[in-house]
Amino acid sequence: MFVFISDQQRRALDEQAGEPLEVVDPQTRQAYILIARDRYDALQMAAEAAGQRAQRCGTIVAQIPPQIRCSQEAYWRELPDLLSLASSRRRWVAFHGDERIGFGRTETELYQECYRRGLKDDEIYVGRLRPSLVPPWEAEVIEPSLYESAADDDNPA
Amino acid sequence: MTIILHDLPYLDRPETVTIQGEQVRLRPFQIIVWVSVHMKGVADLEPNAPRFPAILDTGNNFTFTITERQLVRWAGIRPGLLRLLGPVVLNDIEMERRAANVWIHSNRRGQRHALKPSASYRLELDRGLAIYPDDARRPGPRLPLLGVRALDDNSLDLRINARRRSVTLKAGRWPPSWFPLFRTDS
Repeated sequence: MFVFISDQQRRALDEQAGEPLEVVDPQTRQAYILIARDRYDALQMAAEAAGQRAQRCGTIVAQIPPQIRCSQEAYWRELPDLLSLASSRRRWVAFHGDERIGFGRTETELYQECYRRGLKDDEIYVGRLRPSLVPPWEAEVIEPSLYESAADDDNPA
Repeated sequence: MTIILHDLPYLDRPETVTIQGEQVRLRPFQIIVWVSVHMKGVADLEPNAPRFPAILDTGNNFTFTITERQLVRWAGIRPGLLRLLGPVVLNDIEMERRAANVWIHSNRRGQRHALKPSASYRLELDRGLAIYPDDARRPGPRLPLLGVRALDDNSLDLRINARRRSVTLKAGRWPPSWFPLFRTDS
């Protein structure tokens, strides 16, 4: 369905200088947003891309070995309480499922302790003892910096 | 205190290096470090572990980013050998984070590509490294990127001397400036 905008709406849109315009149905008081078609399309695409990205990230998360995921969750659950124990000798902590294996100055010494106990790589998680905003299994976002890509390789230096 | 990179120079001109038979151009003003990648839990790097250059990228907020192709061809590791830890997103490209550590090879003081034999420093990467897929919608980084988080995870001290175009990276406490033996600005 196609509806032409009124002169009043055109003037209001001009005054908005490209910003969305709120219009209200006087009978129902229902508000609507009037925006340019190309902007609406861009928003739709962005929403779709975000949805697809979340879905693809979800696929990666689903592939994490279950015991590692279980150990990651235990780490994340206990991290707030463990932070007060952090020191130069307790910089890392290892988990095997819900069991806390111990603390270590290095990550490597904890891995070796886990191996000594007969634990396998795909059962354990060793994490840093410091505040974090993102659980270890969730997506982190790397700054979209202006790194040079492989496509630039033919350009002169 | 361990000096990992000692007055490592960066250049104002391009340079080409050969990695596994492949010619790779290094751009001017890039801080290039030689690294190896290995699975976690390993205390000492094997002497014959493949080495390749990476850009020390102070604008990058992750640990280490490498394309799938570079990981296979330069590091000699298939991604599937490294445990999956979760996803990471770079420029709208979803990538896998996998468990591995990066080793920086120490340079001979003031030299860019001359490395000290058997002198490498293990960077323990809390969230693993990011592997940029070969079939991504956009091409990945031309060279692997070593980000600031890798230095932060390991409490390292990075100093860039733009006057001398050199970089020094240390682990442990920097000695007091009055202690003449350790002064690096002489």
